[in-house]
Formats: sequence, C-alpha cells, structure tokens
Amino acid sequence: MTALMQGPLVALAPPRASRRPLVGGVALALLVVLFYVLPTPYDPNEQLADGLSPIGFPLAPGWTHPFGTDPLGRDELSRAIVGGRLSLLIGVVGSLVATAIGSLVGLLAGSTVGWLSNGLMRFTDIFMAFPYLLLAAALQSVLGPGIGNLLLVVGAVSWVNAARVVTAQVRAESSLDYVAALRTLGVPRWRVLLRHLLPNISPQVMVLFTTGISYTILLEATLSFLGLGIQPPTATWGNMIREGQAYFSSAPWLVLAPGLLLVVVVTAVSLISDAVSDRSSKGLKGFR
Amino acid sequence: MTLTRPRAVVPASGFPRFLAGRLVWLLAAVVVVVSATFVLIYVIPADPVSAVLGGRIQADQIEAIKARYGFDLPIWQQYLRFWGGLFRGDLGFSFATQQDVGQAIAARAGATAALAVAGLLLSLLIGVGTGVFAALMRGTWKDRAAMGTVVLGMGVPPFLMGLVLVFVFAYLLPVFPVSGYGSAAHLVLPALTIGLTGGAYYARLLRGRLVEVMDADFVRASRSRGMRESAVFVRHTLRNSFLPVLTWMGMDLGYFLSGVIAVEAIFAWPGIGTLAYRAITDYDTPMIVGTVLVSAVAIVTVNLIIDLVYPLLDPRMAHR
Repeated sequence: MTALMQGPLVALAPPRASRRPLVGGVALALLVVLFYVLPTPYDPNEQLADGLSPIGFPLAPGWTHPFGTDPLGRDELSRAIVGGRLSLLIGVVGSLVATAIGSLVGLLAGSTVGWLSNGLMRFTDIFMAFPYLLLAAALQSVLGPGIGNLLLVVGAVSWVNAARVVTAQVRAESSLDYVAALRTLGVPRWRVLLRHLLPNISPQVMVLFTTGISYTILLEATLSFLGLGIQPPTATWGNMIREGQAYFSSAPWLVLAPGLLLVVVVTAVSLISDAVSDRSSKGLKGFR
Repeated sequence: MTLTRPRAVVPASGFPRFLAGRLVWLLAAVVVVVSATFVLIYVIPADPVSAVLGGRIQADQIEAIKARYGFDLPIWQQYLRFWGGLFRGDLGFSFATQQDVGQAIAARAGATAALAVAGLLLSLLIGVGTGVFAALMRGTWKDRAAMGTVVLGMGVPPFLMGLVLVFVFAYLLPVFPVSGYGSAAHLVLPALTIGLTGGAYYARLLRGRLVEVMDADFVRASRSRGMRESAVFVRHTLRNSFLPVLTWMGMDLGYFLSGVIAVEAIFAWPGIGTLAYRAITDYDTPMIVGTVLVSAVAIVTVNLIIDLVYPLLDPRMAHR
C-alpha cells in the first residue's frame, strides 16, 4: 500500500502508545494521597480563633491557609480535602452501583429473547425520557438527605447508559463463532454468558464504570450545589460552592478552590477512562 | 446455535406505520414517566400534606386540605383523578403558590425554550468548530491542545461554569447583565454557560467520528476521483460524521433540562428550571409532577423529530 492510497500521511504513522494513562493515573494517585493519606492541616469543621480578619472577613489564600478561610473562619483547604474524600467515595461507589444495575439489566436484556428482553429494552428506552436531575432531585427530597440515599438516587438515575451499552455488547458477542462453538460443545447458556461472554465485554464495562465515576461526581456536586445532596456542616465541593456563592465578589476563593479541585479530579478520572477505552478498543485506530 | 435468535425482520410498512409506532412509543414513555413520578412523589412520603404543613396548622385543617385535594382517597383513585384532570388539560394547583400548574408552566416555557435554542446553537457552534478544527489538525499539538481543553471543559459542571462567567463578566468585564430576563443581552451569559459546557461533548464526539470517517474507503475514493479536498470534507466526511452528533442532540435535551435547573437558578432566569427547583424544595407535588411531565414530553418529542430527520442526513436510514 502506498502513501498515496492512504490519503493524509498522518494515517500512516503507527499509533503511538498513549501517554494518557500515565498522566491521569499519576494525577489521581496524587489526589488520593492528598485526600486520604495526608492529614488535613486543620479540623475541617473547627471555627478557628484566628480564621477571620479583624473586621470578621474570611482570610484570603496565604501561607497559613493556602485556600483561605470561609465566612465561619474554617480552613478552606481542610474542608476541600474532606469534601474530596466524600466526592471520590460517592463517585466510585455510586458508579459501581449504577454500573452493576445497568450491567445486570443489560445482561438479561441482551441474552434473552421475547417479552423479557423487549420489556427491559423498552423500559430502558423510556427511562431515557426522564429528566434525570429532576428525578434525582425529587427522589432525594423524598428520601431525605444522607449518603446512603444519595447513592440510591445515583444508582436509580444513572444505570440506563450501562444497560444500553451492555445490551448491545452482549448481542454483538452472542453472534460470534466462539459462542456458537461453546453451545455446540454443550456448555449451558448461563455458563457461556458468565464465564466466556462477560469476560469478553468486561473492558467495555470498565469504561462504563470509569466514565460513571466522573458523571457521578458531577451529579453529586450539582445536587449538593442545589442544596439537595449532602447537607452542611459535612463538606462536599457542591455545598461548599453553594455556601461560597454569596461571597463570590469579595471572596472568590470560596467558589474557585473547591471548583478547581472538582474540575481537576473529574478531568483526571476522564483521562483514566480514556486510557481504559484506548486499551479496550480493538484494532488500529491511530491517534485518537 | 447462538445465545439469541436474530430478531424477526419487520415487514416493510412505510412511513405512516413508522410514525404511528413512534407516536405509540411516545405516549407509552409519557405514561410510564408520569406514573413513576406519581408513585415516587405520592406514595413514598405517606402524607404529603403533613410533610408540607406539619406543625404549622391544626389537625382538623389538615384533614380539610386533604379532602380538598383528594388525599383522603385511596391511592389508585388519586392516580385516576390525576389522569382525568390531565385529559381535561388540568395539572392541578400548586400547594405552595396556589397557581394553576399548567398556566405556571406555560408562562415560563418561553424563557426556557429561548435558553434551550440559544444554548444549543452555541453548543453546536463551539462543538462543531472545535471538533472540525481538531480533526483537520489531528496528530499535531493544535489537536492535542484543543482536545485537552475539551476534556477539561467536560469536567466543568454547568453551575460552576455559570458562576465563573458571572465572576468574569460581573466584576472584571461588566459587559453583559449577570441576572434577570428581558433583553437579548440577558440571554448571553446563560446561553454561553450551556454552550461552553455542552459544546465540549459535541467537539469530542465529532472529532472521534471525523477521524474515523476521514480514513474510510469512500472518502479516499472521492478524493481519488479528483474531488476537491474541501468538497470531500464537507459533502462526505462531515455529513457522514454528523449522525452521532444528531443522536447526542436528542440525549442532550435531557442533559440540558437538568443543567438548566442550576443555570437558571444562578442567572435568575424565569424558566421551567427555577419553577421545578422551587417545587422540589417546597415539596410542591403537583408542580413537580407537572414539570417532570412537560420535560418528558419535550424530550420524547425532540427525539421523535430527530428520528424523522435521520434519513435526510443518511438515506440508508430511510423509515421502513
């Protein structure tokens, strides 16, 4: 094959090993160390005696308080770190719940025929019509605040995507020769499904899980920002931004510090899910 | 033998049949969404009236209010009454403001529709522009810089983007009004918030698809026939890459209607989002059901329209 036939020369360049896993992984590892391993500089909920200026104004970022203090004289960095622990935890567990529910629905819908499969797929389609944040907010206000309820809400609204992808994947895999071969050998359907098919689609499930983490973190932040998620004094980035909003003009760090951490973490997680996705995509796709 | 038998081939039945099928699906979706919301709102907190007014009024007044709104009836009768009202175009009255829910939503639909259209146009402008640029520059640092920005942009929730824009434009560069409604200038910041956060998804989607299609055989064939590079790109590459963008536009509406709650709250935009938000914080159940219903109808209708538009972009997807 000559270069002429290949169109743009770039297409001839061999796909380079992606550097993204390193970048995202290192970033996230650093954040995990920051959030979980290092102690917070101050007690996140303590109203520090010297946490406000003489006129009662929150302190701007400086040497003693890198992210400044909030209007109650609490150390913003300590609160952002504690909020980060919660956000990551909710992101990982919430995405795990959603991916598990979605995969289960997808496995059932993809591996069966007839009313069960059709019913599940229609139900999934219909669920797409739900304005999800409205549903999440209504559900949260009905169930009441709390981390357990929040995880329930996340699971209830975010399983749809996983269900659709897994259904499609299971259907695609089912038509491949190895499935037919296994069935011919007399391997029972459930065993083919769980021992052979599931491992083959697990990269896609991993991608769903990792993208779900950033999605869940954003969902939780939005809910908490609206005052419907985790309630103060427990700090999350969403409710810190909500509290800082009123002081935005005079103390922008109250919004920007948690906001920046939120963006950095979500981006790091996105880079990781891109890396997982790169690894799992088959064939030569070049630089993407 | 495979795990699943191939699905039965649908007999050719023409466009009317297709449309009828989609309309039935639309109706079914709305019924399920409304029923689920109804169950969610009315059943789980056993006593919505006390939840709203508990402690503030006498017990006998609570009973009177329950009788007036029909909360003393069994749940299935309440459910039927709700549908009966719906068929007469009656969504009930707000607990919190005594407004007619239908009228309240109708009065605010225009503001949200304006924001939706402006936001979507900006999303497409930003997303398609960035996506095309990155695809044309693929493999270069410009591509990587553009896509890096896009990944970063996808990590910014609309509410944070809105706050940052308020900060920039209210305190550093006071050009546009930062809250309220009325003139085109008021629309700029909320629409830009949606455009910037939404555009990132379109950019990523379009670039990925473009890069794939650019190497496709039919594109190379067009080029080998001597078509100009720009014509190949516009007529073949871009057109073929637009389907996922169109699909995402349908899904985007659900995303938009969600993001819009926070965006409208930040910019004091008098749309359905603020209405829904207040209803949720007030436990105003008729209003919650009303806004969910209207949003669901909007989402399925837009998706129906998109289904109808597909064949214009890709004749292979003609309606059977």
